[in-house]
Amino acid sequence: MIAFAIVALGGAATYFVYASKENRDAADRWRTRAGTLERTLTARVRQLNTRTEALNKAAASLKRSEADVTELSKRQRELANEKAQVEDARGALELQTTSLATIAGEQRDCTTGLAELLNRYAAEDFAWVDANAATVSATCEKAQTDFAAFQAQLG
Amino acid sequence: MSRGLGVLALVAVALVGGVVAVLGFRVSPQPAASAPPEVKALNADARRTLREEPQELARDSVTRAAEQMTLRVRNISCAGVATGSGFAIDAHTIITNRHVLQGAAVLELNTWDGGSLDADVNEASTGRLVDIGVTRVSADLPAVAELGKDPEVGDRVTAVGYPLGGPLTLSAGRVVRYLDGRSLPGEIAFDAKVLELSTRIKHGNSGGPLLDRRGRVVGVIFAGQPGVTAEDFMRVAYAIPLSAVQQLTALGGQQAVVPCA
Repeated sequence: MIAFAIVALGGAATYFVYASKENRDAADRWRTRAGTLERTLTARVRQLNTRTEALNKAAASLKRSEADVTELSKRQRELANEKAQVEDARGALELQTTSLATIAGEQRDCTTGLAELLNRYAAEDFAWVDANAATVSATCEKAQTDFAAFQAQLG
Repeated sequence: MSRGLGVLALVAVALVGGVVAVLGFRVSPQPAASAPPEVKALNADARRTLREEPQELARDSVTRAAEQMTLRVRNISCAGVATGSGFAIDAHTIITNRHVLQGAAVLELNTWDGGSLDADVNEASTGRLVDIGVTRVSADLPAVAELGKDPEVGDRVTAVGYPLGGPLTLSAGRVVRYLDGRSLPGEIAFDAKVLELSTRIKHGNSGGPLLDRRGRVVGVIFAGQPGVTAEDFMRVAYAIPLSAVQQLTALGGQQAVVPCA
């Protein structure tokens, strides 16, 4: 009985020694792996923090750029609008110039006609006066009407 | 004898216990002293950028496309200077309204960013049956419209143009209903379906594109029910759907733009 107990104790001791060694080896391997993972995790966290910092800076820069672009676009639109208005005014002035040139021609025809009419009248060329008075009158009336219309258009 | 064996057994137990204790205590490794660094957080700007930027970019790209394709049309005629809107359907062709081109001696175009282009009056033509005009430019236009399908009632649409000859505006609204074009007042009536819109337009929007949600042209703004004064927003806006533009232009042919005397 005692011999059996001694053999059993010896067997148990051997098993515990073996199991303990296995446990220690496994624990060492886990510790090594845990250390590696911890170093990896630390490196990743540092990378993440670097990226986060870069993203925060980029977001701040983007916000500033967006504000600048918005301001510049707004200004560009304002300038484009002003340019278009100026071109409208230029178009209107070109129209007025054309109208004025036409009216000036009509006024010149009227003046020339009236001068000729007076000369003929002074020279007692009444036949010519009778024949052309109506035409001269019509030319002058048209010049007057067109000028009045031009003035009305100007407001 | 048995006492000696008992002692031996105790020694053996102590020996086993000692070995297990020595080896067993070393099973559990000590935890590492250093903890991983703290993770930094994104700031509010970065969070907003990641959350909203894609939608803003999509919205901006539609807006940008709309303003690039839409042109301000200046009609210089015997009646004075009038302005309207138009849009490019290819690199050299602009669609607008017939009444925007009417009587033109000189046609000039402005882009949203201040560019100026001369349109060829001799190359300009208008639809006989519909209030649509076409003109051409020799220079390359900055952007060409993408054409879409006729919208459904209730669809969201945007009217783009230069109201009162001022800055480019985008006015969002919805398709209220389809109307019979013959029911409109005499001077703007025609025999085709017309879109009634809730978008806010003014004189000068005429000829501008009507866009769907994706920025595709689905109609051409041409008229509205006037407000109290000419400077007020129209009470109702009307647009010609693209299908009607194509159908009526093909049916009635085109006529040249004749400068007024």
